[in-house]
Amino acid sequence: MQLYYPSNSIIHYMHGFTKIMIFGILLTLVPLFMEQPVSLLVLLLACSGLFIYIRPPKTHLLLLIPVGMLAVMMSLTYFFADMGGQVYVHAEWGYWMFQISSGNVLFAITFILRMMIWSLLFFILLFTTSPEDLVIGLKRFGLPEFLTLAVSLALRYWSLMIFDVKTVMDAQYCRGVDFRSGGILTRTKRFASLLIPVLFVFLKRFRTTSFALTLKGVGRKNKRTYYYNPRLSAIDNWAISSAVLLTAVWLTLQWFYKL
Amino acid sequence: MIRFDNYSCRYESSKEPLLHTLNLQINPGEFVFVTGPSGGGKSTLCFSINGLIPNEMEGSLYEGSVTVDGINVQQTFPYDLVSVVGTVLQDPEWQLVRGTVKEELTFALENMGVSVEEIDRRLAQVAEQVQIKPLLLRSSLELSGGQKQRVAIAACLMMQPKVIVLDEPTAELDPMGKEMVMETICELHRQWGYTVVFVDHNLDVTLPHADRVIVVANGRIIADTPPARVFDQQAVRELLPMPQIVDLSRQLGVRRSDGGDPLTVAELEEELGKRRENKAQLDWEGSGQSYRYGRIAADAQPIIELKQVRFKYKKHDTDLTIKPVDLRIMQGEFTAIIGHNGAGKSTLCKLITGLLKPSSGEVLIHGKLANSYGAEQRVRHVGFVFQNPDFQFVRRTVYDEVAYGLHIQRLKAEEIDARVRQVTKLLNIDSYLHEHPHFLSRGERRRVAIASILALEPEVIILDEPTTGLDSLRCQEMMSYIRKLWQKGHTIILLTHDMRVVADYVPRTIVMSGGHIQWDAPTRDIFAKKEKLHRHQITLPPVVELSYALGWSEPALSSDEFITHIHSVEGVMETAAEGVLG
Repeated sequence: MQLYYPSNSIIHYMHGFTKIMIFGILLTLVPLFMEQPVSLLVLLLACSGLFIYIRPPKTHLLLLIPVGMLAVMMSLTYFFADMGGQVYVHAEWGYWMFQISSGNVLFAITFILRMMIWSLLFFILLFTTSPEDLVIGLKRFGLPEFLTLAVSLALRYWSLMIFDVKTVMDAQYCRGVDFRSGGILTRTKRFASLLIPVLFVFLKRFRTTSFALTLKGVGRKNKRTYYYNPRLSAIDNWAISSAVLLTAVWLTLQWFYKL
Repeated sequence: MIRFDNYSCRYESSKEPLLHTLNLQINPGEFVFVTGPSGGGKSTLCFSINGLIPNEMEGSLYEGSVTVDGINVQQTFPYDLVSVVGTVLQDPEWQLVRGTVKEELTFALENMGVSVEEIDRRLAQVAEQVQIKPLLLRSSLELSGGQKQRVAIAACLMMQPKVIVLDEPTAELDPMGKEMVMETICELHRQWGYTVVFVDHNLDVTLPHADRVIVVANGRIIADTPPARVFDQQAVRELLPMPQIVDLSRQLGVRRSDGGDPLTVAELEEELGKRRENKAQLDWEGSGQSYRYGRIAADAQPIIELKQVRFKYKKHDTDLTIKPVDLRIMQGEFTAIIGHNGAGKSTLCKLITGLLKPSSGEVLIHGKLANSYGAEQRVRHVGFVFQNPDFQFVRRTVYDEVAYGLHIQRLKAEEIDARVRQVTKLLNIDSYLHEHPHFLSRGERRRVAIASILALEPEVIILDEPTTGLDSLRCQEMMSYIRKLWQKGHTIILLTHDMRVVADYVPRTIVMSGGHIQWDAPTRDIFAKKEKLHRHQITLPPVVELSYALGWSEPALSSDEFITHIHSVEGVMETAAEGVLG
């Protein structure tokens, strides 16, 4: 499955650098400076608006389900610690403690909201940016060649790697290894048994890729040209200026009013 | 163009050379077909031409020299050779390193620092040469295997090499993909004069196109001759099974006027035509199928039944991957499922094995819903052997690997030992019991994979492309093992693109297309559909094509059938002639 899909939203037309700057850095940092759930909720709504605006296909929308479930499950860990506030429920089992308090609920909600904001920003970035544009964007931040190449290879191969892991699981299932039943220990052992075939398969695959890279001149010490090298347009300048301004305004307000 | 001077190479850790001292010259514009048994040194020969040996293969030592267009390969880094030697590797997926076709084509030139204007010029030229203009903006993930290899060929043409080296580029492709790659290479050779070094196992397809054949075995060149003369050599006949057309020609004693073997159906037909003026006299009604069906007991019960099974991968998909399918596999049957890539073969078998659940309809094993069996129970009824055995191996020795599934079933140690020894002996891998499965040859790894499923004693064994990537001899061996399993009473389902295997070994054939069963009939009836099969991208085996070219109403399925019939007809004609004369 490819995360990027072509469309005609303004965000699709932006330069990779602009999108990384806005969605990957500025808007990602803002939730860290938000303490009130209401502020986070407003930002979440704004991000949701942007997400709806880019009109992701149904398959892409479904990715929000596992992300949401993960956020909720991770937030539950706050109920196994004392985060202060008024206590409504408290239970102890030896080393373990379970508590529902206003502090726990507040922390859990804040966590869920932050996770969802970051996920939406991440999806907006990846859904609207082709791997090529993403790499060009990273390159503009001054990242070294080997790092941008590693990112582009990861984007190229991630779905193939998942497919290979799935096939290894299927092959084991056909030998009677059931990953859907048994206790946690049994299942962990069964999943661990996948490591060896997965490792061997990937080593063989990466050997091919390594040969291919060498045969395409990677590693040659000369100045590289960029066949595709888009420039920042007026939309990019406008978008970056607006995002920087909004972030600065927000930080100032936050400084004075603790929003 | 390419010159090997007293060249030999080996791994530092091994005493046995990968290539023994060899001297070889390949001239500009030649199409050289390199073939031979697996592990014989074909890929080593390729990697010695493009410089991966010794520069990328750690611990490889060499003596002598290889020069390409006057450049000493061993003293030049592979990335400095790319404008002289272009290479296409076997794996169509993992050798493409960029997201889109256009990026893939421009990537090497960008790395070489070539100007954007020059890249543009070459892009236009290569897109024209390889006819991939419509693919330029598409993602590599969306392409078929054949298209991917075409893109890989185009990517090396961007560097304007003088030599193209292809290391088994068609090994993982379906027949259409194979045809596409062969067509592209032949066109480049014929029209643009490239020197081509083509490594492959498929003699049937490649031999007619080559100018010269080099047979490599045990690190030595066994033969270096024109294609029509390659089987004149005793050493080659011992190592390589003949392509079907050559086999038929030799059995019939037919040679071309220049003394060589006919290599194509057309050539053999022409020679036969000269022998027999009236081709219609050779007509034949066919036989031989009944003895195969005779093996299945009359009261055989269905072991697998599919009733109105539909399937789609995602709920919101509008198209069904499997359209309503009804299928019945009887105990003791040997069935092939054929069809182009994406026809639904693998999906159908995954539904049978329980890896996928049908969207609607029923999959029954012994009349019971397949879902009612747990994973451990199901493996006793249906075993599935994957195309790539590497997906399967989890243990460090062949013995432990074969025993792995039996341990999961919690059998007693004595029973496990007995079963492991029995199946490894049957598949002739009992001498490797203490070897690491990942370090065996491809054919041996496949046999270990089959043994590990067979040890579970499933009634039905489904094999996904068991002969892909094997040389002709290993392919014959593998099929005789599979036939042995069938004769022992297992029900066999074979997913394959190799039509010669289907014609030679399998009595029942199911043709899938677009997610449904197009035809399900005895193999002879399937191959009797001729052009209709082409519409479903299925190519006929050479002997079947020859039967039709000779005007027979029913095809012979194997060389033996063909020869028997020809001899019987000749006998009849001679008797008739004697009668007339008498």
